[in-house]
Amino acid sequence: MLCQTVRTFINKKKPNQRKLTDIYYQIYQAIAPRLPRKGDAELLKLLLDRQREGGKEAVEQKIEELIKKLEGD
Amino acid sequence: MPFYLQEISIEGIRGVNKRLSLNLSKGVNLLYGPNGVGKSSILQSIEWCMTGNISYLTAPEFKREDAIVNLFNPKKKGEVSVILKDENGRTITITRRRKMAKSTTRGASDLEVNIEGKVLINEDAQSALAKILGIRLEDFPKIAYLHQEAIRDIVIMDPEERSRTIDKLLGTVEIRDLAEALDVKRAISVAKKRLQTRIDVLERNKIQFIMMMRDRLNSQKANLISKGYQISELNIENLTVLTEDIIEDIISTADRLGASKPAIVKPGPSTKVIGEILSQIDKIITELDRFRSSAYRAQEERRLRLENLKSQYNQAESELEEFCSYTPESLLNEKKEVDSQITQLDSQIKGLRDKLTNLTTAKAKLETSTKLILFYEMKLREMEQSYGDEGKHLDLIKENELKQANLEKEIEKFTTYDKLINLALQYISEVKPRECPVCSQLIDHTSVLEKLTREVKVHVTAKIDRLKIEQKEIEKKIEEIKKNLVEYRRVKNLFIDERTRLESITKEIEEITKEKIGAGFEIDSKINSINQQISGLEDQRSTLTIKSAELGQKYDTLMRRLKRLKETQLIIQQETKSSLTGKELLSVIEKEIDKSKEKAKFYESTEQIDAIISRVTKVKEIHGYLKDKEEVEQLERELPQVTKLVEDLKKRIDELTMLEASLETIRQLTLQYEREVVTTILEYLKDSINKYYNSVKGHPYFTKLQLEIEKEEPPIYSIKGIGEDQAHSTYIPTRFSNAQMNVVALSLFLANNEKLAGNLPLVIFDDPSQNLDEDHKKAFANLLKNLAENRQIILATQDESLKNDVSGLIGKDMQLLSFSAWSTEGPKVVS
Repeated sequence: MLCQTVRTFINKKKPNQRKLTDIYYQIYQAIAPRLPRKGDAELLKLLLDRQREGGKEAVEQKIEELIKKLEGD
Repeated sequence: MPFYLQEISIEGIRGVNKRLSLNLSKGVNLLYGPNGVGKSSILQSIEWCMTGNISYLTAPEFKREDAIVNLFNPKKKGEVSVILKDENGRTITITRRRKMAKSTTRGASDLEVNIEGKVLINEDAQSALAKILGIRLEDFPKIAYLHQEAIRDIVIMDPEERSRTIDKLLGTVEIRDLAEALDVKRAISVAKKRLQTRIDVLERNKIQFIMMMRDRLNSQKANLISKGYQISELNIENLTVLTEDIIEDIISTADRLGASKPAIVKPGPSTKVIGEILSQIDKIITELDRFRSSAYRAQEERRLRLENLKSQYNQAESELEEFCSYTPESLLNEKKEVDSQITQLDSQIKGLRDKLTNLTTAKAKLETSTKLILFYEMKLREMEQSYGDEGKHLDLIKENELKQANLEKEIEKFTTYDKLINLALQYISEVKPRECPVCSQLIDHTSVLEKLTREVKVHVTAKIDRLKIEQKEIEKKIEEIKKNLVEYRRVKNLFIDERTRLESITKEIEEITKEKIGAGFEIDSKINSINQQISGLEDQRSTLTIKSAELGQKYDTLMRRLKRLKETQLIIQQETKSSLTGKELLSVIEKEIDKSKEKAKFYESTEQIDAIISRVTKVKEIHGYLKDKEEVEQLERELPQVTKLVEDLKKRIDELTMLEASLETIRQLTLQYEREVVTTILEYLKDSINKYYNSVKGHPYFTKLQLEIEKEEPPIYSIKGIGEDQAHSTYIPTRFSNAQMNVVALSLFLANNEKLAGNLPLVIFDDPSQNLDEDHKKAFANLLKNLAENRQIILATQDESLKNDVSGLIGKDMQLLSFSAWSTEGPKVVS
């Protein structure tokens, strides 16, 4: 299970966010059911959302933000 | 029904500034022109219109500026419209717009789709297009657009980058990107380490510090009790009372010392307030002690000053005792008298000196005059020896003048005689007579003439010459005597004058000496006598000068001592504020000295201040203890918070561990998914890839391509060529030429296109003939001809031979769009 910090962070949805219907949606559909924890699927969705918006760098930046958030900086 | 791209209209995108509209044919469209004229910009505009993105604009520089909107567009915005048409005449107009942003990757674009008059926007438009065309728009590049960069990357990149390019061609690069982005073990490990360091610091510093403080407080308390403090005294109320007592004591001490009243606030029951007051008290005590010390020094200095003045006064009086028989006036009068005697002596000495000078001068003149008289006498005697005295000189002159007159007559006589002879000679020579005219005797005029001439004339002429010489000698002698006489007279006059002068000098000396010069008179003894008189007077003057100086010195000393006495007296009077003098004044100063001694003794004692310091020290001990106690209690109250913070940090580490696990799980599943997808796609495309590979003239021996996942993390693909007889296989980079590698890229792309084109059978090639030789180009042109049977083709190239090959094969069915040059307005179409 993901911790509450990550969960809260993930659930901060942006306005006008598009639905997953593309390659990222396919990735999500393929991987999410295999994830052992429910929270991991939410995390995956968040990361794919970011990848759609800004590519690989956006995912890296998002993960970095998550780490910083957890570290408490 | 399949659609084809009927028209494209571009404005303000990539290299196209002014609006450019192109009608396209259903078959092959060849965009031909040299490099840099804007062909790729047109192809990229199609991609951007369909997807909102342009592949390969990913270098870091693209993030620093907007590379999509044309740099020179005055509106700073771009728009592309694409019209699709199917066989039934249905049209779809796709329009995408964008304003210039700060970066290529920032800023959104707006999509508008018009399907038979129905206008849809953005996501709705995207969904509708996907449904009609049977493809996802984001798949458009991998299905329909073979970028020149994709071909280049397949040919020249390292295995990892080549694998990434293959992923792009297969449409799986997003899965690769996700897996790579999820590899954050190191970053999480660093974050966990930082958290652990914070925990260690808190546990080591804070908790251990509190324990140490508590131990110290207990020992502090024990120490105070051992010093005699009661436990009941160690509280804030008692501390407040003790501080108040000290403040009162300080105020009364300041009053006794004569210092100004210190301003101290009243203490409240707080260690902080009392702490501030105690440090204020420290300063006040220091100032008070400084005041006491300063007052003590002032009294001591006054006593010493008074004693010194008293001593000076006594000394000044004793110094005056030796002058008791004098007064300044008596000394001054005595000095004046001596000075008057000196003046008289000076006058006498001056008179004698003048006399001496005159006498010495007269002596010198006398000596000179005497010498001159002797000289003239001697000179006169010498001259008299030659021609005698003046009378003798005159006699000699007369005698010689007489001789001269006689000679004159003689010369005249012979001269007349000479004239007569000359007349006779003239007569004889002219007349030549036979007889003498005087005696009438017969003569031989020739012999007479000869005889007269030889004997008479010669004799007479010689006589005249001798007489003239003699006359000149006498004349010379007369001159000499006369000259001698003049000199004799001059010397004689000088002699007479000098004798007159000598008489005058003698009178002068007689006047100086007041004595008649006679026998036994010696001028030198007179001079010596005057010198002796001067010497005697100078000795007297010297004695009197010394006496005068002594009297002056004595007078100065007396005046100085009197002045000193008066000054000292005045200072004492000012210091003691008294107008008395003498012994009475001394009595006053002694009383003042005694007073200063008493005051100094009072200020010398530090007893009162020491007592306060001692009490302050005790209060400080209690205050220190109570302050530490408060601190420890405060820290102990905060301890749960620290513990909570440590727990929170530990929890964060756990959360990071969980995040790490989650990301790793997702990453592993992503990699697994990529393997599955790639395996499926490759299996699906296998035959198609090989079909195209062989149709575009692949390797002559390795006629079959085999793509496999060789390494899983990160995924590295191997592309192998397999021999026709299956006997040999090879990795394509090791034995394939660049042209053959290019063919591999074309095969992958076309296989994708064949399988995934949906209802948009469109193929876009951007410079596909890189590295292809003529044979390969011909093969590629042939392939295009086949593809054109069921696909619309848009081909951009600068390769003339490819253009010729394609136009030769396809002929009139091909639409050729030639570009000549590029300007800031965009590409220029020439046909």
